[in-house]
Amino acid sequence: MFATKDLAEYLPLLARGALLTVEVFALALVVATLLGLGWALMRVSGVPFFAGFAKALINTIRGIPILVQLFYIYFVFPDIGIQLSAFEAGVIGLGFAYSCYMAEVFRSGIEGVDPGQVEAAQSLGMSRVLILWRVVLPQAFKIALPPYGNTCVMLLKDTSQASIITVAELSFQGKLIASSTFKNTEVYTLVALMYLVMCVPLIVIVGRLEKRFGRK
Amino acid sequence: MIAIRDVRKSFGTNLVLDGITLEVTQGEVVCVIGASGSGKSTLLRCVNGLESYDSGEIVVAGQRVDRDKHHIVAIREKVAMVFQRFNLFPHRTALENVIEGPVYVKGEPRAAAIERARALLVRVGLAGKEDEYPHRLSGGQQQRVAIARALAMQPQAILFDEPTSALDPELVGEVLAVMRLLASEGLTMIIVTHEMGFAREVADRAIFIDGGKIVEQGPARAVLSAPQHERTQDFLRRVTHPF
Amino acid sequence: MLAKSIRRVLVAACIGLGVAGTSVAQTVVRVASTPTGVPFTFLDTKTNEISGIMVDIMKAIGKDQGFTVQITPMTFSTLIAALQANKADVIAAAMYITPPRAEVVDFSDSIITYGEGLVVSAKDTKDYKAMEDLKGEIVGVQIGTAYVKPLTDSGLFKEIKVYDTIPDIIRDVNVGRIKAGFADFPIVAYQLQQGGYPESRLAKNYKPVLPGSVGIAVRKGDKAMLDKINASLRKFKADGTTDKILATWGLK
Repeated sequence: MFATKDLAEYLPLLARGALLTVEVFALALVVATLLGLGWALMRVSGVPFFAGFAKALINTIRGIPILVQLFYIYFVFPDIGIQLSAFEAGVIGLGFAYSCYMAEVFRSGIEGVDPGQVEAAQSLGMSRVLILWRVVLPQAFKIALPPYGNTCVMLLKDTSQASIITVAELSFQGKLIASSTFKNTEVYTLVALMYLVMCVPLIVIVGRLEKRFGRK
Repeated sequence: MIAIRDVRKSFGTNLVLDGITLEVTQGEVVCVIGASGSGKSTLLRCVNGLESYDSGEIVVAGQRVDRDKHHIVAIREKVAMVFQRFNLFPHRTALENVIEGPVYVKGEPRAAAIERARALLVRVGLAGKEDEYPHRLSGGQQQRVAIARALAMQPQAILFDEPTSALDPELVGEVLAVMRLLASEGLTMIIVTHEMGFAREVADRAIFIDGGKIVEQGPARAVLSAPQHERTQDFLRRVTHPF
Repeated sequence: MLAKSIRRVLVAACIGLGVAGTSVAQTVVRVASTPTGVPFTFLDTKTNEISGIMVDIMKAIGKDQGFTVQITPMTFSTLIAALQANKADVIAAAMYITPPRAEVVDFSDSIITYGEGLVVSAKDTKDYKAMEDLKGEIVGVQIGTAYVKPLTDSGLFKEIKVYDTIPDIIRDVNVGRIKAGFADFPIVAYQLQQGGYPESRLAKNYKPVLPGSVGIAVRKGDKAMLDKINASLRKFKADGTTDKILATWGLK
């Protein structure tokens, strides 16, 4: 069933796809983390306008499948004059969608910090910003680390959704090869293995970080 | 230096403070006693702005306490607080906890703050524990770090919110000893506590609060040994003889 | 006397029902098609059913051979996989009979022959006649079609973007993301004619170089089904049924 000749033929193409998967993942992760932190801070800010806006945004985006969002950004946005390449649409679409999941992860971290901490910091005369930076965020980070890591792994796998808008990442390359060689079993097994190869190190890294920085 | 004038506060429909008037002069040690829910912790938290109050006035060192105004920060630098559950920063060592306020709020140079912090930790009996994280310290040790943290701000007064209520009985003594020391050095203290023996020995004045009102107040020894008011007598009897 | 008559009536009724029963319980043949290959196979939003040339032919074969068809839509690139995995019995779509495909499925006789069409931007006034006219450009093609390999092998283009459906290709030509798209001539002609893509046009003078014949595919070795299909197709060729169906959709 599995000829090594097949491996030699498909691996370079799939590897190219995997490289693009990693690129999309890395950039989308940066976007998602930074934006997500922004939304989370808006939600806990106590300013009704910011909190309300962030909450509405997060709940809207969480309610639309990523596939549909990507489709929208790539195929529908040109109608209103926003023309993005497939790669750009993939990064922005995935980054934006995942920023809303990240926002909830960060918010649960921030709200999970013992309120007594905040009171002690307040009693010392700390400003809101100082309290956030020196007391809340360092502790929120530890609480949020496991779900953050989990969301990262999900993002890596969800890069496969970008194939629908022609981003030539791993699943897309797999689909391409399978549809022209009809060797679905071989190709998709290889694709699955390659995703594992990418995800497992990520899971291990997150596990190590949890051990080092996590809650005691 | 702390003036509380006819302060009222409700949580929703629950009237917790019903016209409290109290003056604490410099160097005075005042103990506030009462049943849980009587409003004593709330009163303390109104003084440093952790709670807002509905009517009346609280003035600390000449400044009106208003938690929504920016100058609350200035008031908090003058009046420190020690909490029932210590509230030490778990991600910082004992020393780092103590220098946090001076360095990051008051802008004191780090080296100077560290020196002072070391001395403070020695003063509360924790020499050698400066690099320990809170989770490796006993409850009594943690509370003493919290006291050192409050002292590091060089406050004009310290508010103690049931400082020993969360401690195992055998650890209570070491914390009370530190507080006694501070009292003898002339620190202005308002202490909410159930430790009647300590209050009788160390406090200048005792205030009994019941149902949001001051029912009785006077010299600590007098109020706690020979209370005048029936409700005070009732309360003290229940506290000292639970059975 | 009455009892005997009643019994006879009952027996006759049972036999009648039995016959009716077997004729109602016909075989259902599962047909795989695409929802966006108009006019060959597409989702008619008015009836919410998959319709088109290939569907009409398949239904006619079913009527002729005595089976009902159940049509399942899927993307073009997954048709053969569905057949191989026994999720479908027949592929009725705008699928060329090609040697690589013939290795994994069996094809019926050819139904219609055509080449590729070129769709470009309406603003692009260049008169495209051959693939070479698009040297160095970014072009689009549908995944799994017989056009992918020849285009890739030609080495002419800067980038070949591969899309799931033909409407996706035309859409990207419409917004200028790709310079041109290659797809089945009848399909692009039909789609552009419908008017949904005002910024695109068919390159009228483009000479197709990748012709192919469309056939119905069955699982490799499914001789029974193949024979049935071919028998009907030959009959339809002779009596003009095929031509009539093609004409209905404007292809003859």
